Amino acid sequence: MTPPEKEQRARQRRLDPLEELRASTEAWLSQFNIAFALMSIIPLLICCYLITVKFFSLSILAGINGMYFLFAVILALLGLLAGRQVIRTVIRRLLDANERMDRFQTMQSEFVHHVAHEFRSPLAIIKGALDNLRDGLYGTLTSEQVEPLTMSNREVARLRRVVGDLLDIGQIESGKLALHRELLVLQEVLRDVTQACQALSTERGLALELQAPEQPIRVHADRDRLSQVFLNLVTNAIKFTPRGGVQVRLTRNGAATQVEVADSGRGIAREDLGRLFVKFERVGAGDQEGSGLGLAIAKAIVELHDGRIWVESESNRGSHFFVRLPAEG
Amino acid sequence: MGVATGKTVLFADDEESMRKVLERRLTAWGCRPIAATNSLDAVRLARERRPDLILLDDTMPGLTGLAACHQLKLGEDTRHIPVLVLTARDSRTLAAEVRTAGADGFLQKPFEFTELLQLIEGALAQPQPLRS
Ligand SMILES: Nc1ncnc2c1ncn2[C@@H]1O[C@H](COP(=O)(O)OP(=O)(O)OP(=O)(O)O)[C@@H](O)[C@H]1O
Ligand SMILES: [Mg+2]
Repeated sequence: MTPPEKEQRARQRRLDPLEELRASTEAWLSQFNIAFALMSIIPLLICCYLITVKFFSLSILAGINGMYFLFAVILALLGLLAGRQVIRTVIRRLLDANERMDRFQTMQSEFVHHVAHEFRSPLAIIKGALDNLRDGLYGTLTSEQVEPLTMSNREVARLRRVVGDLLDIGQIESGKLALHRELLVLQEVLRDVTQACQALSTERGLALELQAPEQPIRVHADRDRLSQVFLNLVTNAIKFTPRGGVQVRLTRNGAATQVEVADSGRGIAREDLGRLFVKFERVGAGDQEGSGLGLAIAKAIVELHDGRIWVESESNRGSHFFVRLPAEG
Repeated sequence: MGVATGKTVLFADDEESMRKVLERRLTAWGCRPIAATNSLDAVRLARERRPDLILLDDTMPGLTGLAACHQLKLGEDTRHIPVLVLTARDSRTLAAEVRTAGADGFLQKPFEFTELLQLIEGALAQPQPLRS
């Protein structure tokens, strides 16, 4: 490990919330020790006071009451000691459990990462072979062979997308999703996205429209990641809209810029609104292709940009998604 | 006829199926393919055969594709040959590594052949630094 790497690790460790909790608990435990010491001093002082000042004679020790008293003081002290030990053990156990959970979670997201990577090499081979086949590199295809081939190609594309999404989720959950920010014009990003979705919307007989002001609206953001967010919103809108259209609208209001994706589709039931942005959650009829990762990834990306994403919708009334981002200059 | 026609392309991948797929495609583009099964093989073949372009898989046992690329770019007789890296790893962390290794481009697996052809043509069209 090079020194800067080491330093970065150290910084990460310092920022680790669990580490922080542990440190604060240690501090608390040492305060507890002081408090305990103080607490045990008080009965001892009282005891000394009683013996020396109040009774001023050793006869008190001979009296049965005095014996009881001393016995009680010692018991109380032992109780306090035991209680302190119990509290310490409980806290330690909780911290350990928490740490194990944390480790398990990183392991899990590392596993997802690993598996997704393992998928890519074989996928490349399958895709390559299928594309060679499609392009007639192994001889001319009969019309009967074209259909299963097209089907396979489509599924490979889907697998490829899911693998990419799983990798993103893995990165998000392990906090490793890094943004490559630059100053970019939102109009350009949205134009590219709507252009990319044009074919799908035409195929579905939908009108796809982009409304944006002339004046360029700039944001300091990761171009690929933002495109990914809007691409998912627009594809969703098209997927879940049987007829009508999809509007993408860009507006600026002071320091905030807002992108809206509105459709005239089947909408979302009130009780489902809460789980849309949770990974693997899909609502409604489930008749459309997808893995339920798009919106979870979108939310993470938008929030990494210090933005906010939300939806307003009702069953059969269309859906209206909003993304608000801090604007630049 | 494209820029790639008639060019000798050395490619390395440890997976036989991938080599077969690539070989078929490169031939269809009119290239003369040379296959290598690992990085050391690729470096050796590059020195012996002086191809016009080299395609390296990144994750091969032994020397990685990027390390091989670095070696090729250090070699007097091979540094002028454009190198493209194909990888199953994450492209975002990779971009910097690829640049450091001196590669002329990279593609993430699985990729479209049209993308690969574009990269190849771009790399072949680029004026290469003179051999010194
Ligand atoms: N515009 C919309 N209209 C109606 N329902 C929607 C709309 N957008 C999203 N949804 C609902 O939210 C669910 C989650 O969307 P999300 O984009 O996360 O997943 P997906 O589109 O099903 O799959 P993926 O995006 O991973 O390919 C969808 O399955 C759908 O039920
Ligand atoms: Mg989606």
